[in-house]
Amino acid sequence: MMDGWATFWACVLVGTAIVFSGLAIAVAIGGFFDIRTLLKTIDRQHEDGVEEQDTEEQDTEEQDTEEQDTEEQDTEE
Amino acid sequence: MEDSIQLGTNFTNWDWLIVAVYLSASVLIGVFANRYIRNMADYIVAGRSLRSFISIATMLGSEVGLVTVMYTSQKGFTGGFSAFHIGLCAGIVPLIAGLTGFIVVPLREAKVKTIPEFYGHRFGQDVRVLGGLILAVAGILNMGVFLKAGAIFVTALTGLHDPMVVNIVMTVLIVLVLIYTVLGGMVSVVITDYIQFIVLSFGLMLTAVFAARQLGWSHIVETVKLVHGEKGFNPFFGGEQSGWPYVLWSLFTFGLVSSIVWPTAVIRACAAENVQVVRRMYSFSSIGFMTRFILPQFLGICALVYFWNDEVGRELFFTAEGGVVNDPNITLTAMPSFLAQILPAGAIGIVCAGMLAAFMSTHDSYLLCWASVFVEDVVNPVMGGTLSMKSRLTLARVFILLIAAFLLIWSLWYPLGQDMLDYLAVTGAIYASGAFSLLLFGLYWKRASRVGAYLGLISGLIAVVGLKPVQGLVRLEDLLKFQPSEAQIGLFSVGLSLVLTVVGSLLFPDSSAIRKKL
Repeated sequence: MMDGWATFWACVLVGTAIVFSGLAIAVAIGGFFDIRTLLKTIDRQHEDGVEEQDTEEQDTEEQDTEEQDTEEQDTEE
Repeated sequence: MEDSIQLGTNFTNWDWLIVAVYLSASVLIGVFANRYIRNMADYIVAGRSLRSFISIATMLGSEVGLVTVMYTSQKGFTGGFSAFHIGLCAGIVPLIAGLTGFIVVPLREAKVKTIPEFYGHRFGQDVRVLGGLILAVAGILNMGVFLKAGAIFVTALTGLHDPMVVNIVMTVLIVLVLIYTVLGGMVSVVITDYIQFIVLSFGLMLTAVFAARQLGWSHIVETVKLVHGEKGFNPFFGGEQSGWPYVLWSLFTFGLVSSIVWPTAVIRACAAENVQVVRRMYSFSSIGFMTRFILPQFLGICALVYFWNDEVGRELFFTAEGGVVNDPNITLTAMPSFLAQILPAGAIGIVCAGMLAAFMSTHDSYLLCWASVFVEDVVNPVMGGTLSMKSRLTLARVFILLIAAFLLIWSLWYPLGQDMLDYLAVTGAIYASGAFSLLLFGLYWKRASRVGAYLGLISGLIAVVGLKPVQGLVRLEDLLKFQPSEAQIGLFSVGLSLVLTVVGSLLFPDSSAIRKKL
């Protein structure tokens, strides 16, 4: 019984190590290019002012929601 | 900690130099990344611009931390090969989440930055504030012992024996983390996570291969048979830390919670470029989630074998009857003490740098996460959402500093006086039991209501009973006439939270006006 489990765990360990090695190599290479793209994208967003608009819109939406909450509470009271 | 000193170490001044160079480079990256931070989206989710590979790297860079490595290796030491079932559980759930999109895809589609923000959209701002408070408090308490685990690692690996020196080293580390997290936010976290992922993943694999070659596979198996018997191989074999309840608990905590409910993991899904990236990230990260348990557990097993055959080691780590000593503070030191003995100078410095980098990586993500939750989900909603972007950014940085100060006091200077493993499990479950219920029903059941959400969150707090001192306080054994295991209590709190969310939602549904507004 124990030998069966030992064989199973050996397969799990070796399988994990092999698959993880492949993943680590792929991520190491692909991640480098992703970081370059990330920094370029953020720069571009700043130039376009896209995210700042989004954030300001979100702020406004949240304020609106809060105002609606207050109004409804007043009405209920 | 004192005991490990007797074992000796191969750590030299060259290894310290390697560690210093590596950590300094991490700080410089933070300073460099500061020029990319202009708003809250840049700071918390890196402008939502993360692509597949870097998402995987940053998720695993954060989740494969020194604390994880310490506790999982301890589990390998005390549980043998049967502890590998935790790794399988940890791999299966994110794979399913990646293939099906379960929870993580609708969360990304909701365009939220934090989980409590989702509560706010789905159940109302008051639920968001309560959920944010529970999450942040549970998370910060959970994190409160991380520095202690780091200190034990440094002591055992380097042979430092003056507690004051260890405290200073850990303080310097937390200050370095603060510098690059406060300055660079998620952008610096992403870049440093990437580097730390590479160093740690290759370091772990090479160390495991080296250890296996040193000890020999058949020797490892025979020693585990001798020390643990069948319990060392069969996870369903009875006992407090094994059997069906424990496997189910592992599936929930190490599988489900750690990958799709724990906010430091979920924030990666929120930061991903689109849902395809989320699916890919989870599918591939499942390999990493599995590996982060199995490789350190294997190192723990190797430590068991090594010290069983070492005269001094056997005296320190084993009882006279041949079992593993029942003291978590001692078994925690087994893996780093083992590495200190088998790795040559130079290699040990790289492993130490990788582990400390992972330690910093976990801290930067967690600091950023809990500070964001405080600002976005507690303070800002309480202030009526009136805080400007600049104020929120400043407040997030202030909270990071405050949390770091708390960690230093709590972890290093304050005597904890209780078992670290129980502490971590309970503080995590306080948040996760209710959070899973709210995410599940909030995303997939239209009738889930605000009252149901409140009941789900509050009933999740019952997980605190898993803490031994609390059990003593409420005389749990006398009340129930038996002593429930930690796994049974945890599963009960999850079940209760699910049931009460459903019952509360059915009995107190949201009015149509509220539903329309939400």
